[in-house]
Amino acid sequence: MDAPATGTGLIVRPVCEMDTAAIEAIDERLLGRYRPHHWETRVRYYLSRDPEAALVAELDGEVVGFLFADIRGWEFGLDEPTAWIEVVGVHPDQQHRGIGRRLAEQLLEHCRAQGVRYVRTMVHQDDHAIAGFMRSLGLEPAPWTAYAREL
Amino acid sequence: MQIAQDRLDKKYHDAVERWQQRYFPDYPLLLHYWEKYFPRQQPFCLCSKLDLSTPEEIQVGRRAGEKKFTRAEQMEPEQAHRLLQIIKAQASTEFGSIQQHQGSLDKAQDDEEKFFVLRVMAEELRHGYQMFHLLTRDDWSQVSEQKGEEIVEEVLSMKTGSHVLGAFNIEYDSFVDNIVFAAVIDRVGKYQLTMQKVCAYKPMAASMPPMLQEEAFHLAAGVVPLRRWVRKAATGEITVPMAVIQRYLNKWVPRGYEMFGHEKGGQTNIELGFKDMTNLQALRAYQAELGRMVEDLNRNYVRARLPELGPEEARALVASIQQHRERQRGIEPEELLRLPDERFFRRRGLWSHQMWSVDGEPFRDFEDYRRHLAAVLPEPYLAHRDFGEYLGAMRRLQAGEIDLKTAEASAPRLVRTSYCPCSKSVRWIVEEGQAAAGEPTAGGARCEPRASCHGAA
Ligand SMILES: CC(C)(COP(=O)(O)OP(=O)(O)OC[C@H]1O[C@@H](n2cnc3c(N)ncnc32)[C@H](O)[C@@H]1OP(=O)(O)O)[C@@H](O)C(=O)NCCC(=O)NCCS
Ligand SMILES: [Fe+2]
Ligand SMILES: [Fe+2]
Repeated sequence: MDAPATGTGLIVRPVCEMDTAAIEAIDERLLGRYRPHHWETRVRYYLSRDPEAALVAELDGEVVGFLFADIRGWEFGLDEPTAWIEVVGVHPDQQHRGIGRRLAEQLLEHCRAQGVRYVRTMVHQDDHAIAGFMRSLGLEPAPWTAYAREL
Repeated sequence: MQIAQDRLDKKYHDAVERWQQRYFPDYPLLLHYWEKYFPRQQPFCLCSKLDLSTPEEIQVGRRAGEKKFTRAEQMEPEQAHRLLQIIKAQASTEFGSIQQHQGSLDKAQDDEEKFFVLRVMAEELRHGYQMFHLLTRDDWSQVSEQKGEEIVEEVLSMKTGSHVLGAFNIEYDSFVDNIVFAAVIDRVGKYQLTMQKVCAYKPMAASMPPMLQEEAFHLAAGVVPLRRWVRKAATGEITVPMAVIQRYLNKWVPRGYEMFGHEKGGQTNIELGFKDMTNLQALRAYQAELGRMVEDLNRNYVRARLPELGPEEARALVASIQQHRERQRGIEPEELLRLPDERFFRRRGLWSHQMWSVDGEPFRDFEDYRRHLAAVLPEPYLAHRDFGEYLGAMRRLQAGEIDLKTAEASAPRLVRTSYCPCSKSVRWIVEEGQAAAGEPTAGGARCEPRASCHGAA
């Protein structure tokens, strides 16, 4: 791990509309795609639901990471409210400094306070970084298989 | 956030619903399509919400460290009176903005944008409801001539033209108003609510976090369409051209600045434990944030025009065009947005009723100034009563016929003064001079039998 970012001026807080550009930029660095429309829609969506489950990490005033989750129930036959981690990203220059973990801890704290008992997510089988991250948070592969087809 | 929800006593709840039926007729439309636009979300709740994790102790001011007030009667009368004015001004803004939004909602080109604004309006209704909770769940009669109940009635009888703050007395002409208002004026709301999170009156402090959460959505409801319009303008797929957006910024930003109160005021609210920033501190933070918003819009424009540029190159190009004020890579400086100078078109505060251009150039001649305003403000707004009042007052001020105080007070406010001895109808009244620098003044609005009642409008 590089020098931990905790204790340096790292703040984790709910996302706001002004963060959209920074999130787009992180996504662009991670995946090489500029997707303003996508992120506007996502940010507005989370703001209309539960902003405390859609978090950004700000290091010395700059947004350097985000983790968006959505608390839902009654899906896939699951009858308990579930926090679905939908997307996570930390700026490549700031990874391995504990930022992702801080984001996740705050999310889990919020979810517990809301009475949520399960956190779930889907990870591509080739995405070892995200898989390692999820495992480090205590999430284990679950006995579910994703099915899909192209239309 | 752990929240306690509550409803007003039936008579107040019913009064709010009646108000909604009259001024917010599209509310049922929102409820009908809620599931379509806000799938699997909690249904909208017209109720008050109090955050249960509000600190017990006063956080700022003379009595910092003491227990927060839970009842109005625990405050000094002067203090309670001032808080009551803050609550009333806040309530007035919430109801006022619904009346404004409703006026041009149907001009939305895009159903989704329209439904997001409808949700904003419903949440503003809830914010007004929240303020009524504060007014009706406590006994203010010890500290105020007006009972909480009378203030509720007064606020519910206000119309565009009679609200406490100027920004809520301007009618909308186009859906651009709805959107720019949400991005610019709701942003002031965010600052006010954030400052009031420390409020020494605990029910007020506890009201803020749920309101702030909703406010964050309001800002997105404004900024997201703006970003999309800007990108469409850049590619020629014009919905709203940049020049039009600029005119609406010129219309609303000065009103936003004024909502913070006089630049020299706000200290008393800190001493009394109601807010944690002076007017100027909050104004500066707001201005910086608006600056970032405009900068972001410009970068969206440049990247849509020149897709080959990366984010850093776009940032540098925007900065360079604005700094040198010259065409670069095919983009003219006028194509980009800018914040109007803080002295431009001000009607309150430090720069009140002075003649400055959007770019901060002074005018000597009133006619030149008038022509400039006509060139930089939205055309339909020039025909408004509100703008006409301002121009009239400016003209008379420049001619030496009236002084500044009179000019500031001259924008009449339509107030139904049910406690006014001269009439029970809606009348123009002239507000009683300015209250303490920068604080909302309508609390002092009084219907004087002298020349102040000009007949119903
Ligand atoms: C995965 C990611 C979120 C982790 O964030 P981070 O701030 O670097 O993580 P942290 O420093 O907080 O590390 C937390 C844990 O995750 C684990 N982890 C992080 N990166 C990992 C990797 N590449 N492989 C395996 N495990 C990893 C760490 O081992 C650490 O565990 P530990 O605390 O037990 O040692 C970040 O690397 C990232 O954003 N990756 C790209 C994500 C992406 O492509 N998103 C697409 C949409 S934008
Ligand atoms: Fe509001
Ligand atoms: Fe709002």
